[in-house]
Amino acid sequence: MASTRATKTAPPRPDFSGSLRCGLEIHQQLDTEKLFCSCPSSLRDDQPDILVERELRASAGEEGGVDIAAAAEQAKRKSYLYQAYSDTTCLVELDEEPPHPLNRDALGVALQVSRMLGMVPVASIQVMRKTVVDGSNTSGFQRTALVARNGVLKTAHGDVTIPTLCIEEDAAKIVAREAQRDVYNLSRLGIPLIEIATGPDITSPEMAREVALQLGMLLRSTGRAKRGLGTIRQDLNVSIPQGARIEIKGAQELDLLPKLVEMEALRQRNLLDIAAGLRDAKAGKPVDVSSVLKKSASKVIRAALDSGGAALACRMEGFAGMLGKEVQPGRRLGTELADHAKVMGVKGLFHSDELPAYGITVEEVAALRKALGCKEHDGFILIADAKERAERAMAAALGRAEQARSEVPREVRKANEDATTSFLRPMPGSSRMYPETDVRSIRVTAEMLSSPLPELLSSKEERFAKQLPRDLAHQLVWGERWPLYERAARRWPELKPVFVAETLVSAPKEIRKRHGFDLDASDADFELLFDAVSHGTIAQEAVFELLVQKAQGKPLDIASFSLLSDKELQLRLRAIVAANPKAPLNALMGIAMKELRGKADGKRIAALLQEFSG
Amino acid sequence: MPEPGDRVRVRTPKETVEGLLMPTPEYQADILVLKLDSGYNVGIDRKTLSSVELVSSQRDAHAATRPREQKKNLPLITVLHTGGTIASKVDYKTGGVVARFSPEELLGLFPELGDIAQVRSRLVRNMWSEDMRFPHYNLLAEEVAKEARARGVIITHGTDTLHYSAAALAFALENINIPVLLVGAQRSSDRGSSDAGMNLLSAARFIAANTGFHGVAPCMHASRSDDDCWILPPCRTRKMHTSRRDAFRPVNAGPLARVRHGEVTILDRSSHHFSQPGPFRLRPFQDVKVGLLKAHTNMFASEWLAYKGFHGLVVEATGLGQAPVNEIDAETKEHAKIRTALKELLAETVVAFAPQTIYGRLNMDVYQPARELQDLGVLGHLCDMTPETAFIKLAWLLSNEPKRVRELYAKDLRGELRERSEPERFLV
Repeated sequence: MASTRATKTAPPRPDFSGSLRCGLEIHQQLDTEKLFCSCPSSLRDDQPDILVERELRASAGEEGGVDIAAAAEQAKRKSYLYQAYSDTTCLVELDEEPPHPLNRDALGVALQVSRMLGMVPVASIQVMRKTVVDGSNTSGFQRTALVARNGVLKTAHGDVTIPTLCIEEDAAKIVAREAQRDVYNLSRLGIPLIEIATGPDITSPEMAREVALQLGMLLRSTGRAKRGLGTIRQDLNVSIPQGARIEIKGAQELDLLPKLVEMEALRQRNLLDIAAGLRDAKAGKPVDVSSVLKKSASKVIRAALDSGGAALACRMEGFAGMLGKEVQPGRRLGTELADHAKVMGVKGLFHSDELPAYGITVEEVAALRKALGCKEHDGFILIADAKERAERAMAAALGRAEQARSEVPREVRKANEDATTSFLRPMPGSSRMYPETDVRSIRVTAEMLSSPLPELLSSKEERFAKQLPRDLAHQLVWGERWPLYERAARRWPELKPVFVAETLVSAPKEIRKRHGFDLDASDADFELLFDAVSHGTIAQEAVFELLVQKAQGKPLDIASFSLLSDKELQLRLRAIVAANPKAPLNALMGIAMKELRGKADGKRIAALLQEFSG
Repeated sequence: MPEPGDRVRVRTPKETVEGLLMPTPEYQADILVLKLDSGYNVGIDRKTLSSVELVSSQRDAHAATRPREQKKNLPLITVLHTGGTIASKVDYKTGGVVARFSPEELLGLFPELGDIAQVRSRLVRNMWSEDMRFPHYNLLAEEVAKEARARGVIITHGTDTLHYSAAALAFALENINIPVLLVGAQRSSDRGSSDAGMNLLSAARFIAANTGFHGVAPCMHASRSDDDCWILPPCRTRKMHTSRRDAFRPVNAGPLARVRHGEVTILDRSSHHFSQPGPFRLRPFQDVKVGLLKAHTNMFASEWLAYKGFHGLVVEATGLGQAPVNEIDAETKEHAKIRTALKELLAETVVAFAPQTIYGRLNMDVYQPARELQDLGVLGHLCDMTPETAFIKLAWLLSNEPKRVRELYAKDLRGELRERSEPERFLV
């Protein structure tokens, strides 16, 4: 089928000189409580203890219009199953309680970042509802607020304007998409996101990458950015002359950005070429061709007809050869049509340029062409499924075919792993936004703008490097524990910086290398250890041993590593000497260290052994 | 001066911005709110404005609602609107949600309704449900009474006092022979997740299903999922949660019927709603004054005396039917005053107790003080009505049966009282 077919042809490298317009949208999760309730921002995928099933309908925005993206979503007639947790999600995420006031902690971070980008904060922050009816928000909208405007980011490739910085709630995470129902997990819903949008000032794929990197660094400098896969997401806005603004969502890997930009420019150019070739083309009316295919051996056709469904086909006047035209490697115009059909719940569609194949025979193709009245230059598309679903899918595919004659449609697309993209939904209009009347607007005060700005991670690395080896400083700053490192330096100045940094950065790696365990220690765990070392309760060497135990899933048992008093130490060493009367000093030292590692200072042990054995 | 909705160009020393002018929030008069082309609203400090220039005047962009072709073979349902969350929209002046949809707009929002019934619809009042007064119950009852030709009536209602209205209409519409369903929404209909649609459509399906049901009943979500709606007993239902969809629960009772994905199941066929009704009579509320007082610790006699001159007072009694009337030490001298105040009140006011525990039945024979209260003339012994139903019932009795209030308060008239306390009716 068109949706799955792939080819090996490499794309010609496009020429971007002066034609590409590209903007980035960065979404960074914050490590605060949720934006509109007091639930922790903890992402979960364990067994939920609450399941709720809901439906959504498109509703009119404040100007009376129903948003086009919302209407498209409603055409799908799906229900949504939400997974929730009684201990980390509440009635707010379940859309069973109005939102609490916007989280001031998260807003503080957003304002800080806006100042770092030289932006002008709005005088009064108005929380808006952005209509989203794909089920990813239980309410049917995403809460978002414009915090600041008009900043600039300086890059080696030139300045990039930053028109807007918003704070918004993250959506629920998709768990499964079924024909009639999508399953979402609510643990992510409501996590604060800072959204930074750049102007369309990015002129090369490499520049896109640099902008993303710099913004990511800036966000992480606040020390409040969440870390880990999926905590920062980049959306791309790409357009070429005569093309359209396309939003590409879900690029998880920065390295994919340049490729995505390249491939989208290619797609738009190919679509423009196709449009030129389709000027006199037109789609016909869908016809039920179930009887033509009633003996078909094709799996898709069989599955549909045997379960009481129908096969619908539509003559595509002047489309012959065009449906099979490649728009991106492995993706054809037919694939674009199939994307729109699939949104309605069907598995895909067949088009005449790929047939006969997939169990559909030459004879059947001929019979279909005859039934549809296809002439030489005509093509057709074919969809088989439950009749109602097939009808909706056919209407969607024909809608896309109509657009193919004249333009690149404005769409939101999803990034695929190979940097091609698939259709997600139409580009929502401004009518998807209306005020969130359940929360009051927030006056931005001078006090809210007076907190000191965080040090950039790049400067931080320089500062750390004065006390630490450069490599360690680098790893510390770009890892997640540097805020703890700084806290520890203030709280326990007597601890050696290298010891603290190594404990935070090197110890987990060492444990994985030596023992094969992943250390899952919290900041509080580390703080407990540092506190014990600084009080002389345990030796520095004990910290590693304790972390190994922690990695093995045992609790941090400080007491078992507490330092022996000199009197106890002497008793233990005398016992060792007595039990090994003939052992040389070196051997005694080995036995003693094995038994007492982390519980006494090595030098003192050596001195005492010398005394007792001598 | 540009009006809200106009396109304006706003200049400040720092920037020039274009957008639609929005009304100023009342609590931030020094802020000008502008809707940018991106859809975002931003607040701009009026003090920093150098100029506000009209770009173009925009008339109400509201799409005219097309009159819909109705299917003549379908049963007729009349929808009476009273406002509330089920028919609410953004109000820019207050920045809050207010009842603002015209009845036509509501129908435009739920086109499926047209496949269930022919729908007639009119706005009776556009109000917050907490503003309801007895004349509104009468107005509603009269509007329902006009609908003899309809298969049933749906009343859209704010949820806050929906259970009061259900009881009030159940009493006022004596022996009404069609279903009169009260429908509300806990999530406003200006959002995709609103429960308005399912509640409304379930009510319409229940009426169209022709089950033989007659009388008044709320129709609301049974769970937090969009699967079941319950048809609830009008005098034994209470809003038990501020915000959940399934806030309306039967108290000391069970639901009468269920509408699941459009399919109707009768759960209590034995209820009087399914037996042959007697002759219909509209028995409205009169201009009576009835209060509702909650007994609590550290109470003062003046709280009771505030009801002097009232025709009736329902007291949410503690436990099995107690109130603080016992002077047991120096600290409880006030309670002797309460006892005196109560006696004074009873001279001209009907005082009736109802359980503040919400669930369960009063039994004012168990403790000596309650026996004395009964002897003083306080009603409510063996009452298992919710305080809200007791309040409505007392007002209705004072309006329609002033001579028989004492006798009828303790008698079941509309399914509001039961002699048997069924074991499985707690926290349903």
